[in-house]
Amino acid sequence: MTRTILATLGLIGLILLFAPWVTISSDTEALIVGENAGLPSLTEGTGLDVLVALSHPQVAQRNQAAKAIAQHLKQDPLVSEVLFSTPAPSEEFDRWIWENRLLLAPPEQADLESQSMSRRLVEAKDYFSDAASIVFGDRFLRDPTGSYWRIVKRFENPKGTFPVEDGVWQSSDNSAAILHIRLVQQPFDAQALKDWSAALRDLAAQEKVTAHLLGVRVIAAETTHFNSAASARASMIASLLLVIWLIWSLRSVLLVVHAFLPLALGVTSAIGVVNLAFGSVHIVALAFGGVLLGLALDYPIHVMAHHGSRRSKAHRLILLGAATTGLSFLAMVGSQVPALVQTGVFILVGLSIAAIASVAMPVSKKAEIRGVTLSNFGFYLPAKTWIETVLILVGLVTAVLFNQQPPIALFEPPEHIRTELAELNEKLDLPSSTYAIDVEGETLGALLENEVQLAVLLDQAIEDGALQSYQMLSQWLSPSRALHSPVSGFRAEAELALEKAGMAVAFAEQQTLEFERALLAPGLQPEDLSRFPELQGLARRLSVSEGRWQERVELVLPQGSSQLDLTLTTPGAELVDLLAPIRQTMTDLRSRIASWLFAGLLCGMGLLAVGLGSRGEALRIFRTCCAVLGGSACIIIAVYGAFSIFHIVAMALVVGIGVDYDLILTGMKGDKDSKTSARSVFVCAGSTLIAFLVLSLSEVQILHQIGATVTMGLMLMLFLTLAQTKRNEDQ
Amino acid sequence: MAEPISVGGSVAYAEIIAHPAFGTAVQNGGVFVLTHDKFLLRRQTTPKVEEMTIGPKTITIQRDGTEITRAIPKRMNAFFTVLQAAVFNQGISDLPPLPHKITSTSTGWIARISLRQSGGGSIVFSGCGDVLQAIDLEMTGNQNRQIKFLSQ
Repeated sequence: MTRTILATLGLIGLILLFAPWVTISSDTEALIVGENAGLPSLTEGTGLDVLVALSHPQVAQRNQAAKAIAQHLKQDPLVSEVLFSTPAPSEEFDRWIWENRLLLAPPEQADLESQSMSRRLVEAKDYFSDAASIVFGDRFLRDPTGSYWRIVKRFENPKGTFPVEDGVWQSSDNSAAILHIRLVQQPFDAQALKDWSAALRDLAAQEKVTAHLLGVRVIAAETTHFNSAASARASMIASLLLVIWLIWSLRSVLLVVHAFLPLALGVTSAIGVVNLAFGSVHIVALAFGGVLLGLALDYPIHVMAHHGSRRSKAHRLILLGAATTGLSFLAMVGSQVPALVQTGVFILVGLSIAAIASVAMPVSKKAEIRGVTLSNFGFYLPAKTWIETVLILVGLVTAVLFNQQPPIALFEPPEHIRTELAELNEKLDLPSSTYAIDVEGETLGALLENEVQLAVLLDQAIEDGALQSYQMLSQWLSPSRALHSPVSGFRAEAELALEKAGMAVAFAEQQTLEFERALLAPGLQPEDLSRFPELQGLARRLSVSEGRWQERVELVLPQGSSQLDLTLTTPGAELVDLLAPIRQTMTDLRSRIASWLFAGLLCGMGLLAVGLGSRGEALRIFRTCCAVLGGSACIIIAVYGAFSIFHIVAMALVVGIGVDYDLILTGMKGDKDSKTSARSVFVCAGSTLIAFLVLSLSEVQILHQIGATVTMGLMLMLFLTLAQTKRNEDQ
Repeated sequence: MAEPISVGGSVAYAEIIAHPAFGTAVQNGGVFVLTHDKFLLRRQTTPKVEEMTIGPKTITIQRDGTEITRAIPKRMNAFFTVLQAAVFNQGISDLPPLPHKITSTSTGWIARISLRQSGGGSIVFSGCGDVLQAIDLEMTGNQNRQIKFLSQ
């Protein structure tokens, strides 16, 4: 009793000690080895962007709402910037465009001749009847080559940007006003983001518009919240059923509390140690570790079921089982994937502490366990060894031949978010998240030359209906041409042009000075991409590495289409599958988990052989475990088409459970009280089935996959464990 | 504060634009009105029909059946704000403190606001008594725009 009180006090102490500084992390970079290979980031770049569509049939109403909401959000500490239309260019950028006009929109040779210049000057003078001439008129007159005019026209009809009405961006289907929000760069806090987006939706409702939100952080927060709520619900139901089951089985509430204490100590210690060692606990480690520590609930039940000298034997088997499973999972450290390294440490620490606590604070008397004597269901299975071998082989063949690529999302967004994303995709004509085209060139000029060729192909694809639109640098920046016009020649042509247009010939001096200055401008330089906020969108697509210029051309596919049928022949251009790096990351992750867990299983079995003092016994258990894995693999691939990492970890859990059951059932066989041992295994199996059956019914994919795999694997494990190679083996 | 003559909520104007490149000045005409949202609307009738609404950060121009919204470049910000303030006394609170000078003439008064810190040039108001008669925008490069308010 003293030990139990001490353990309870210890648990409370640990919780009080760790609670204030434990940090839960959901960083995607913790799921890969080395550099980020295209996984969406929550902490930088577009990960901080949120697009909000405010739907209302009347433009005036939604625009008014957009402006009011933008005004409100400017005071929000989570928001760094909010825009509802393209902001005016800065003085510096405005001047840069003017100075670099001859390189940004180079004139043709004909544009430098008096006839063309004269026509432009007449147009420029006529333009002064346009109110916008107050902004551009003077520059149109100073640049008779038409370069500046071409740039302004491109900005007037920019491709790939939202249309504007009454100064507010509109959706492409003209049903919503658009806000672009940039969140402040700070650690991702799912609850804060969830509250923020809920407040934004409420604010929109007050303005009588409907808000649809799109952003990596918003989706992650909604998904986390949905998963947390569903997990809490499933845990609550499972815990309630478990408690009822255990009270019925153990006939004592105190014993049930006693059974949960080592588990709670294990989980708390694991969280504390991982947080101490890694600075935070990754959500994957918490999910996997938390579920796997379900094993620890069995340890005190096995202890309770045995008394006297049988109890010390049970202690040994429990510690051996915990060490075998813990060592198997510790092998995940070798995967070098940060979240999995944490998981390995989490499980080893959790299982060890739980097993030690179970052994160190036993109940004083033997519990009168109610239940079925599982060994009574033992049956004779002829050629069990062969059946297990066949199961292993069939499982291997199925995994090699039929296992597909794993799903690319670890945590699927809930249904209402998927529906909202589909609606937004229709409203906003978002660039495809599946396809893009990478174009490159030795120089900026070479890149633009390649893009001009590519544009012909893409324009044809648009005409054929295979593509809706695209965004490419060459749409507003033309390849530069060598200007064969000396300054003196330009002045002569400009004077002639002014004369022909009936304008003041003396103004040619001003035009020539401006032309001469523009000839010295350097054009677009790599550093300009970071220097001007106006080029932020371009900088996202354009990169310069070792002198080579590369652009990722964004493609908008026609509504309802997810495939792109395009054969590229343009030099320097390559069609890119944007999901490939994510798919590769998930496949690598799966392979790493599977291979390291298998390596861990081999080590665990080695330890088991040493602990049991029998290589044959360890091999028998190993064969049965592998047969269960083989059988489970066939069923999983038949039902889901592919193993996810959750299936694999759940199968490892089945192995852990199987080792424990086999150790207790076989280890205590022939003992006069062996029926009590069989009953404790029945209670443990019952509690595992209850918990994982509830999880298998969850709408959260991770819980469903783990629950279904453990339930199925456990049935198979019990079947093979109870199967006997000889008739009447127990008698 | 001086205001132009307003008839039925609209102020007629003639805009005369002089530029060193022009032989003869360009002349536009129309009326200014205030929209329901209290924005200044310039409704041009000659030589071409068009409407320009001056918003807080944008101008929206409707012409030949098309509408274009442009962000107001910073160098033009002060002019548009002053224009709104002068015609219908709107957005005066948005005006930054600008260096200015008022002088009397034989026909009335002239107030000159320097825009050296807001893109260059200056704005000259001229009037008689409490009637604002014209606004001259003297821009860099010897471009000059005079908006004369007419009594219709």
